[in-house]
Amino acid sequence: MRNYLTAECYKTFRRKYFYIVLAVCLGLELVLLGCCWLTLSWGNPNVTFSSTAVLVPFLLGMGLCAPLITGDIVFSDQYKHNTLKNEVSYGVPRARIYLGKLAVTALVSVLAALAMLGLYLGGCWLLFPHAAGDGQTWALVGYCLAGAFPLWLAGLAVVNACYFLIRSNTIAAFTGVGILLLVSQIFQLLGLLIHPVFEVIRQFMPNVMVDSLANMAFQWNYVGLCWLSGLVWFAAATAIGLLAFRRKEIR
Amino acid sequence: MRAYLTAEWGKAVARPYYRIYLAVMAALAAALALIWWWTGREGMFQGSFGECLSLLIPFFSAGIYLAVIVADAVFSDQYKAGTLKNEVSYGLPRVRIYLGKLLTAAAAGLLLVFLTLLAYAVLCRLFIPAGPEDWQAVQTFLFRLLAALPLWLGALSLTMAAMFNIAHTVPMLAVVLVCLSGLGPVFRGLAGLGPDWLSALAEALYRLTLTAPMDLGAVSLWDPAYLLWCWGVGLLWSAGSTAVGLALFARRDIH
Repeated sequence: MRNYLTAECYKTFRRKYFYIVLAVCLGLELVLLGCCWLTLSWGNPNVTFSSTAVLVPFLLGMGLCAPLITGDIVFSDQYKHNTLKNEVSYGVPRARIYLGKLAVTALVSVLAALAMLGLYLGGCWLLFPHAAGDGQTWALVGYCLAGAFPLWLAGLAVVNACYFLIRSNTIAAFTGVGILLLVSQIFQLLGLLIHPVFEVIRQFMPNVMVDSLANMAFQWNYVGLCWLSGLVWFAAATAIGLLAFRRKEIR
Repeated sequence: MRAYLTAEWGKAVARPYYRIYLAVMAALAAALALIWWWTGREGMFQGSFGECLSLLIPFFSAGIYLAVIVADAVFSDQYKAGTLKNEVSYGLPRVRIYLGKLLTAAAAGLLLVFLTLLAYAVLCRLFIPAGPEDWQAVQTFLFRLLAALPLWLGALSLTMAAMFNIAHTVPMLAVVLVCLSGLGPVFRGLAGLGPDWLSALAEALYRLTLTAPMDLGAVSLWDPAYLLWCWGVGLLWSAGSTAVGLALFARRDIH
């Protein structure tokens, strides 16, 4: 496994894909910071560290869909290029292939998240005026990240399963987005029309929990609930993906 | 061109991809009709056939994303499979390749829309009782559909332009989805802050995005200004992305 992970990491970090995506994301963040700084220099009194950093708790949903890209950086269309067939026919156990790529995708995602959060929060801290509420803002950001992390891992597991099981890259991406974003909407509709139990299930879906975190501020039992839900989703998605992958014929 | 279109159309509809897509859409339409019927029996839903049609109108904004899948069904990873190289080296003019695939995708999309909505309307008509306001609702449905079609075409053209010029699927999808769903919120956010000229500019740019016309809930029936807005935005995106996509594709080196 260690060799497999080393190999996957080497492959991922040697290619330019990861760095290009990161550069684009960090560039967009700089543009956002720049625009906020510009309005500040035009005399907008509402731009402070608190008001800009507080964007993070409300954009946690982005972290849920980011695995679509980080998963592609690692998995990278191996069905089309037939390189997955090489790994399987070489004799590498399928569980090792699946879990190895899952682990490397998690690593890539965490690194990207650290870089993006670091740049944005650091930029906000340096560029914008401070006020008394800063400590509260940091606490809120910390709370939300603590709750969002397991949910992001859940999204990662779902997307990884989609990439492994669905041959067409486009459909895999759409299925991942569908599961992560659309199913909760459908459940909301069903909950209103058919039975309230759908609404109850909906409250435990990753995108719903991630969006509610900012409003549940400082209820640490909700963070506990996020960890529980996230780990259940992670385990279920990985189990389904792994079991289906083991039985799948790789042509 | 006619032979090329025939070939592309045959290829697109013969593959399971399009047929499965069609089956899934028809199944979803049937499922929704069934939900209305079932909840009508329970007494929770008191609507008529006309109201079932009106309830589908908010789903039209999803058509923008479904157009992306239609484009994929026609273009289908030709950079990965290397088949685009074959067409180009055979001697087919690049304009014919591009416009041929775009027209095929548009036709495939129209067929998909027609069959899906027909299935939904027929099932609703069979299972849901008619009501007094039905004719008005049918007109509203057709009006909003007529307004949505150019916006869907715009999304399709954008996707085709991206598919011809960005060889990797996921970055291509990222660009397309950012243009389709990201620009609107960004412009609306910009409209809120800063000086008046920025707000006015952001507001104007927002109105030119593909999702803006469909964000409106209630529109007066057969309002010509609304139709003009939708067709204007849709044709702007279609013509613009086709022009840019074709220009870039014509100069591209296909390995």
